[in-house]
Amino acid sequence: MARYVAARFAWLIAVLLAVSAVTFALGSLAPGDPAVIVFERTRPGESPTPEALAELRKDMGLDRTVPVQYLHWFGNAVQGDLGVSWSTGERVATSVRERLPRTAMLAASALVLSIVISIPAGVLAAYRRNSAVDHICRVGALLGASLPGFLVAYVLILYLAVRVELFPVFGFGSLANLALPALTLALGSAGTLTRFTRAAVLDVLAAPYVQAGKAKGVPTARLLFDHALRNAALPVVTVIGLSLAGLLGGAFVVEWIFSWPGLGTLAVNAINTKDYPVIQGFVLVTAAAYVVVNFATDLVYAALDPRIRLAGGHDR
Amino acid sequence: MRARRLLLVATLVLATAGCTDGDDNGAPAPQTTETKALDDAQKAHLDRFGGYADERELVAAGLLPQESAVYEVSVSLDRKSYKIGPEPRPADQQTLTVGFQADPWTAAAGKRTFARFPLDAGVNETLTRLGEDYSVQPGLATRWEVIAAGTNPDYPGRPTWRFFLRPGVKFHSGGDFTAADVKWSLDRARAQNLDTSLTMSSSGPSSVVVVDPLTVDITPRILTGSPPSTNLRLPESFVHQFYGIYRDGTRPELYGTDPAGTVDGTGPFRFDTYTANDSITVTRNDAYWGPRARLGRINFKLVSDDTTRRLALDTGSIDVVFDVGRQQVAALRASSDVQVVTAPPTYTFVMYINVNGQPPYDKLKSENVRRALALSINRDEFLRGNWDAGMATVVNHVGPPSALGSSYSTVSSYTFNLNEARNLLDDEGWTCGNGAARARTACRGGEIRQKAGQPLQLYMLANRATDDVPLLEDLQRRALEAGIGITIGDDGANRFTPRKDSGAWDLDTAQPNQNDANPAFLLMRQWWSNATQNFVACWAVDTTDGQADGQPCPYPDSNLQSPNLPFRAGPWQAAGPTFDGHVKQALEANTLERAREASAAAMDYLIDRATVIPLAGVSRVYGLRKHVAGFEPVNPALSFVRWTNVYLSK
Repeated sequence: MARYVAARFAWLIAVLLAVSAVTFALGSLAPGDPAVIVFERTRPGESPTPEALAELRKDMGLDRTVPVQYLHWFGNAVQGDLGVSWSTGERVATSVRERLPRTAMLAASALVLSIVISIPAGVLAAYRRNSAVDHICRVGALLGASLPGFLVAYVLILYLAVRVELFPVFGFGSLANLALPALTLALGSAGTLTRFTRAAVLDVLAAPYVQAGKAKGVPTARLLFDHALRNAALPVVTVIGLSLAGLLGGAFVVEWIFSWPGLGTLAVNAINTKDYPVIQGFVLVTAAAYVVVNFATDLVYAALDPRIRLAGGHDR
Repeated sequence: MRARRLLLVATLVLATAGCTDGDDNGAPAPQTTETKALDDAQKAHLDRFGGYADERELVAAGLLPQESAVYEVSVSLDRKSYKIGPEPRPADQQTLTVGFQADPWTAAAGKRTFARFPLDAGVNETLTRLGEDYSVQPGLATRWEVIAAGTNPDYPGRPTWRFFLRPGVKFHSGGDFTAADVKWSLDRARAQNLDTSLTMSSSGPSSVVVVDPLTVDITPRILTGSPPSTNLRLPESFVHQFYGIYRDGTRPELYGTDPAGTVDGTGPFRFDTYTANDSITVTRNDAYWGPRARLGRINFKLVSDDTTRRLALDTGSIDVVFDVGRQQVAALRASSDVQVVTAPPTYTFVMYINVNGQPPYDKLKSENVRRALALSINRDEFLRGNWDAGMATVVNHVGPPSALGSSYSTVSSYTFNLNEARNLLDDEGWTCGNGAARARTACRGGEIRQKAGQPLQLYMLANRATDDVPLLEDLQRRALEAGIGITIGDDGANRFTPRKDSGAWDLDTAQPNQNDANPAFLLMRQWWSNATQNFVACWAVDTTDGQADGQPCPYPDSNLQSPNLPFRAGPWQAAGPTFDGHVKQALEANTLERAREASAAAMDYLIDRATVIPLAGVSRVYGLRKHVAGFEPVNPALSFVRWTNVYLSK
């Protein structure tokens, strides 16, 4: 098990390094002169002279080569310093620290909702294969996975906030405010999760030990949730992990529509203002969340399936 | 059994989905108002207060019966009548929630105008105010005049504007408003490069001198005209909230980050709280020098998405929404609890033309080709096809028509004439088919005219993330009727400005906004030759000897030279010396009327030469819950909303 964990951790570090390098490289290739952007922020309306820009570039470290800039930036990043926003002048780490918990709350709520919806639906659809319930679940899953988030958001607002006024239209600060954005995100990931759950459970239901359990008279609920689901859990856990990571990084549109002050709105504003330090910080944090969640998923794998632990980290 | 359960659930869902707002939720019925004519005595009394009197002064003077005071809304724009509005709610329920766009004050540049612009929260005031008819009214200054020589030692003997300040005005913190506060605020506007008045720049001595606690001299660094007059458009510029006045020593842009970041003004509302990306709240200033507001509190909610704002209006969690998009007006009008209010034509949807382009962007150097393009667009049909009734109108100005006053009637108009457009193109050698026969007929469907093997294909700059692309596609179709092809570009935020600056375009569209009383404001910025170099041009006077010699200013002025400035003209639109002459006359005019005449002449010249095509005067649209009374967008400028008259009715 220790070897398994160590191997996975090593991959985590390697992926983070690669992501940070690619993000930094892309930022350095982006059009526009960072010195001009910062000059306009600090001295708006003035025309930057070549001398002023040269001095600013030196202050910003832009006179060094890109690899040296990267090393300097990375060295700061591992100490928690992601630089300064070009448009607001605030520390990127401060903005991220302020907003990450809000996005995390939204993503976690969406994930819980998604699991609550999709696991029972997927198990039921598999158990009642080709029945009306199965068809409804599959159509629902397809719609959830296919419909764009903004459309789902507006429909939920229209019916649950405007027509029946169950929830507020926008805002932050209460559970009521959390409901609609979480539900919007949940419906999207629930579609995929339902389909995976159904497929995985179907696979297991055909196994001889399940048939044997049926023949021995094991109650249906116990058969499904204690035996079948547990053995079908591995691919489902994978998708849950991917969903969470995706929710953390992909809530842009939902946060914008619901005015949820999370990382998504920060990223949208940064993109609109070409604020590359913030964009880089956002990408790095999202990538870190992704690999950490996947690392956690791998650990859950090992917990669920002893064969993985005993094999020392090799996949089945 | 299961089927019955499913049917019941489906029925419940459909029944819920079928619920609508309206009478079911106890929303108030639409309010009616009674209009009454003002008599001569009432009109005369209102005139004494300039643009800021309302019926409460009339009641205080005994010219209106007391019992109608509670219900009245503001007097009409033409000062001929007043309305008796609906009964108000109790005072403790007078809290208004306004939905505005995404927080404009998060970026450092935006913070310079915190709580003032683009959202005027009613906290800070200006020396002069914009009247309903784009005239200049007294604000914190009661009057102003040009004096021969001011008191500024750095500009000895120069003509100067002297402003006489309103006595008895207090800041929200309790301190007296004096000339020192004016100097502090205007000098800071200069230091922050907010100055658009042809007056000051970030370098050189200050133009502002305190004469006494209620008198301030402002000596323009930049003069217009020869012999030197003074900057006669300066009082008109001061209506803009860039020149909002705040207490000496405070720096509102530092709010939340520095002890000096105090938001202290003289306005009808006092600053209460601000949460970034969420809201700003103000409360009534009971010690206000002017008409006391009826609302006790205003919450401005900063909501990024305009559809979300509109839906929040439907639920009542927002009472007022600014700038409803054209696609949403119909849905708002269909709601029984919402009223749609429009301002007079606000901003003009304009097609800019590159009249000085280099090949291959030189096709529109020909006046006939430009004229053909203009004549090929049926503006009435264009409006009817893209805006709801009353939302847009045909205009012949690049700014609000009211900015030109009565002179607007002297400006020419384009008249749709497809045949003449085709004839003009034929005359220029742009023909259909293989060019051998000049048939003077329409090209076959979709065919683009050619000349010497080159198609008449124009490139239109477009940022598809922000531009209203369906409007551009409509224009594209109309131009094709005359055989003119338009390629709509896909120039994102990074490419748009560099491409525009380089001249690699034929057409561009925009919707410029004017929050300034200077009638030549937009004309100067887009077509004036001097705007190609510096917006504030030092072309008129050599400050050493007072003679016009075209030498550079001693203080190089680079104001508003930022490449990201959306309105920077560049040389591609410059309209030439005749136009420049009209603008010069407008800037030098001694009266607003004369300035308007000259500006109208400049606009007429642009249309006569087809240098620009004004397509639609679009009204600013507001969505209001039916219980919001007294809201009158009497001036089309964004930042001029009279919150003092607004209240919530029963």
